[in-house]
Amino acid sequence: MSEKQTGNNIDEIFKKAIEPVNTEPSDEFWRKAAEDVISRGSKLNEKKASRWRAIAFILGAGLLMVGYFAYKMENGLKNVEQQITAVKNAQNQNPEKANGNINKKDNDSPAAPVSNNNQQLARQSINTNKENSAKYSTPSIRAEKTGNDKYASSGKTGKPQTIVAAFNKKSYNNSHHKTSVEPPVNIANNKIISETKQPQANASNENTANNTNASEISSTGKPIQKSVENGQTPEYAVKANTQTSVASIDSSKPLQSLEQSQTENPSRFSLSAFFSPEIITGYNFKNNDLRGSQVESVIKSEEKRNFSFSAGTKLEYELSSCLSISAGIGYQTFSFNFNPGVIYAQKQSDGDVGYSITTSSGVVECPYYYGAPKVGDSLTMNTNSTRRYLEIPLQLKYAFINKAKYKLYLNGGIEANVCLGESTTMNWQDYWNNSGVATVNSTVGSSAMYFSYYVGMGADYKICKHISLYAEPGFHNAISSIDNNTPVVSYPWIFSLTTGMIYRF
Amino acid sequence: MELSEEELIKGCLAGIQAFQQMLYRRYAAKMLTVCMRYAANREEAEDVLQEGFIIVFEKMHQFRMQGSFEGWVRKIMINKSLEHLKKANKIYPVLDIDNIADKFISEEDVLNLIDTKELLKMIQELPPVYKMVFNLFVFEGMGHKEIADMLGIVEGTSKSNLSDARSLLKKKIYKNLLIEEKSMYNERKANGE
Repeated sequence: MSEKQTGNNIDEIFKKAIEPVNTEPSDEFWRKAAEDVISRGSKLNEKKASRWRAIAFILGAGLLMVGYFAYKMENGLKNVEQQITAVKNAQNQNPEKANGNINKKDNDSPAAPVSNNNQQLARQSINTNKENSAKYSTPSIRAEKTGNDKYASSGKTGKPQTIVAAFNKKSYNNSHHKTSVEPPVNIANNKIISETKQPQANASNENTANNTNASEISSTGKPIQKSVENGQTPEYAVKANTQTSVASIDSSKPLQSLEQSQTENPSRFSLSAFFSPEIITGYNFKNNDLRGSQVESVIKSEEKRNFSFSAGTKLEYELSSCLSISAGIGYQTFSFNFNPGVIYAQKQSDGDVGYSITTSSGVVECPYYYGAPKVGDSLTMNTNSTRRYLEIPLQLKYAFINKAKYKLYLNGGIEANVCLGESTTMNWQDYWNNSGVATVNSTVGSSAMYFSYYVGMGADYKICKHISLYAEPGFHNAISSIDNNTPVVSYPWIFSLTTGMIYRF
Repeated sequence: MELSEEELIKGCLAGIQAFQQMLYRRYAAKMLTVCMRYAANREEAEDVLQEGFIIVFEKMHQFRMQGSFEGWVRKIMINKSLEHLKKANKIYPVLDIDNIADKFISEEDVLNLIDTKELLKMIQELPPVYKMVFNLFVFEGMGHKEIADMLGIVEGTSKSNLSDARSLLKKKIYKNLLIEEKSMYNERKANGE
């Protein structure tokens, strides 16, 4: 070696020697790297799922609130309509009372007899006719016998009698005879809804000289005839009954009952609860890599679907008599067995050798604790998996047969299905007869959410005014896959038989 | 077919695990060499590498597809290494050093006689601040001003630290070469030459 001094020589030496070198990390590093990737994926999925859970919760709460406010609004409107109907009915029934038509002679009433001063007026009570009691009721009317055999009023026919009095118009005009509008009576209960108070008529012009008999106002509000003495113009003295009187109602037109008014103005909202047994009838598969077709055939042969179901609630709004829209929320669970028989240890995506199975919803990595497996080692295994979803349907229903008691309809729409979790239980046994049960709560490649469309046809039977039962077979088909980044992605076909109960507000 | 940097980055940002694993495989070996130049030993280098990759995934959305992605990852690894050294309080000035006479060292002799791993070990055994300055100047091509700003020292100190690092490395190489020459001599003697 010569003794030549150099400054940058050492830089070049190290740069040339070291820069192109790659140093392979240890197994421990790769194990940690794989864990990091898996945990990153789980966190992302969890984040997406919790975001959709929050949206579903907000939608569900929003739907309930809308339903509640709509129900309240409908009730309020109903009350207003009832009151308007009642007022109209009262006006229709008692136009004469309101106008005080005192000159009219009622054809039903007998002619007012002329009474003699000396004759005793017989008092007769008019009893309420039982036949008409459901329709109207009349107060007891006291009438005086004006003649030998004639009475001022008679309740024998049961019809409300109007008694025409020949009276002094002047004296009438001076009276303060007024009546207020009488409200309708609840026919069904034969109760008085409200009462009319008739003011006390002023008896200032009462001719008390000869006929001081108190006369009373009939139920129709007309003055009762008073006895007249010897050619004198009969006068009447009206002594109104200051007590409340009961309104009489035309029996030919029964009043609209509360129930009737409700039937004519039903709410457009209804709430239903449903339960639907479901079964995945098949999958549409899409291969992502060269192994896809092989994996697809394994899934088709080894995966056996178990009983699955969904249950939830829907809020429906009637756009018209035939068309309605609904939205809801439900809990859905799918269960299936996957029995590949023997599986072999292979190099996994993280570089380590291990066991995994590829199912319709992703890759399940199987933990094995009896030493590090080598390529070619095998396990006998059978598994059971359960996937849980939050289902958010939005549907449009068309009733093509719509009768009073039943209807047949077509229903269709879209659904968002948020994955709530997956769980796989594995029973395994290795070559050396070691065995165990392992449960894994994650599936690599499983989608946090997928969309599907739904079509179905159903029948709805009304068992009473508010409640009906329905049954609706239908099909759901996935629009987006339930897994991604796996050798094969799956789009399930699901048959369901939805049954439920609807409550109409 | 190998994916381009852009495709790889997009796949990683989309959260696709296969792409994330691919990123590890593509850059881990190269970046470990970088980390080993700054760390005291392999274990420390792998820890820094692990932490560096976590930062790469977290900050990947900030990479604007301008320039080399490998260079961006390398900078993250270097910063992580520096952070590691600072945390361990290993960045301290070394003022006293044995000056050795500058002797010419043949590049050919070094590359033929001394293993790359030995050379890497020599760098690892340098005092931390010398190691940082030497690596940043020689391998990353940074200037003394930039190095001084990064390490929080003055430019003059960076220059003197580089000179000292070179001296130490030469010393080690020389010592190694002497050992090699001695062993070669003994071998020839044993063969009867």
